[in-house]
Amino acid sequence: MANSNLPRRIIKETQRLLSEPAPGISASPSEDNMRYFNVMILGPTQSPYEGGVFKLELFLPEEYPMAAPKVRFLTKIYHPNIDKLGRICLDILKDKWSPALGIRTVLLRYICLSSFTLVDVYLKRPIHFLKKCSKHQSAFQYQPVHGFYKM
Amino acid sequence: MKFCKTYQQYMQGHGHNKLPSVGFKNLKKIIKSCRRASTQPTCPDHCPVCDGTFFPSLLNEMSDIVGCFNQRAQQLLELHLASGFRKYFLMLKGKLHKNHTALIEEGKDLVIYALINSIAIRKILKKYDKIHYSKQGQLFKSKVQTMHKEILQSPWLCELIALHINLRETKSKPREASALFDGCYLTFTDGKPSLTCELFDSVKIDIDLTCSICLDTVFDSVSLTCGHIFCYTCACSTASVTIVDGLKAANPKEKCPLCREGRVYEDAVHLEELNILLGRSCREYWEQRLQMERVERVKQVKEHWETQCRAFMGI
Repeated sequence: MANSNLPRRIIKETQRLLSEPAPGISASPSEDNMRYFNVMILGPTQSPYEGGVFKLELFLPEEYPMAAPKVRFLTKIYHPNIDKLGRICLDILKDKWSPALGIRTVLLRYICLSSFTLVDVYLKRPIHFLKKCSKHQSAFQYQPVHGFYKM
Repeated sequence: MKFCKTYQQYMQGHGHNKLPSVGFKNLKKIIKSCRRASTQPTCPDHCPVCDGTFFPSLLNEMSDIVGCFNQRAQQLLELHLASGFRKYFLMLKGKLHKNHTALIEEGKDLVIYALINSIAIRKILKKYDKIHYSKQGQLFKSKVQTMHKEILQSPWLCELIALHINLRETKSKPREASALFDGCYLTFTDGKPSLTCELFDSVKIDIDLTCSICLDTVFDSVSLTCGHIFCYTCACSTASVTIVDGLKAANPKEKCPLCREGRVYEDAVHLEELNILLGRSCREYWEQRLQMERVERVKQVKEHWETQCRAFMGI
């Protein structure tokens, strides 16, 4: 169990995430492991993911905050920066990580990533994108309307 | 009253003639001559007047101001923090002739000097941008910050504010405040501490005292050369060095966690006055952190000596 001698920083961040949740983000720690978070992100408005709800898992390694948290999409998603296993290619999780960043910052960056990066792809290759959307439809249980996920 | 007049009155009236200052009138003349010289409504990217005269002269003035401020602040803090043999040595040298009140006054004067000059620089750059319809002034300001010539970035400003509060709190009779100076104080907003300093015209600076690494009040605080403040242990772990080796041993490639600037650890400043102030203001927290740090330091020292012994024995 990772709850014993949990750093004050993690406790503070968790408290803040629960008391002041970021818009469109719900993150709660697992009961048996406070370093493991269950995250739900709402698809950003005016993006191809609008109306979608995406599940992520976030894990804080032993070296955190000196090392970046490990984040993975559990919900299947089509995005140029996310692979089949849900792993995300994000600079702040690799070489651009800084201990001054936190869980909140990382999750907000995910929302930005899905808002902007994919819009370009959608505009450049709409037919290809719509095909991909319909292929992933079962994973979301949403009706794709013009490539936007609706409940 | 216009700021230019207030500034000149302050610089002359407080016996600061010898101290470096911003040549407000001279810089205004340069801007006006540039406006007359150029027929276009905006200043081109490479304006000979601005590039050759305005910015270099302002940069020189800023360098002089920061250099002078840092030097005088260090001397003042050295006088206050000196103890034992050092105090005796300074007394013999004749440096330690200042009493409690004189120290407070000099500290206050230096804080005002720093703030009024930072306002003067900000105003002249705003004027430059207004006249030229450009953002060159803002760009210059950010360039100056990377060169560490911005007076508000100086770690000694934070130390002086803390010194002023420390001396004022231990002083018996409060004296009347200066017309320019509304005072310095330590404030706690939602449990988060910050140093606040107010000047005339509701000009106010806030220095956040929350370490962005441990998200707690800074303990055994250290200011990096970029001006960001962290706990000493947090700074050491960010710089990938042990507490035993210290920040001097940090790799120059290591960057500040907030601004990602390199070469910021080797000349980091220990904020002794700030530590005294925080130690007095939040005693319980300080004691608690002290115990935690002690455990961590003992652990790191043990590990350090074990590796040293192994290396010595060739294991």
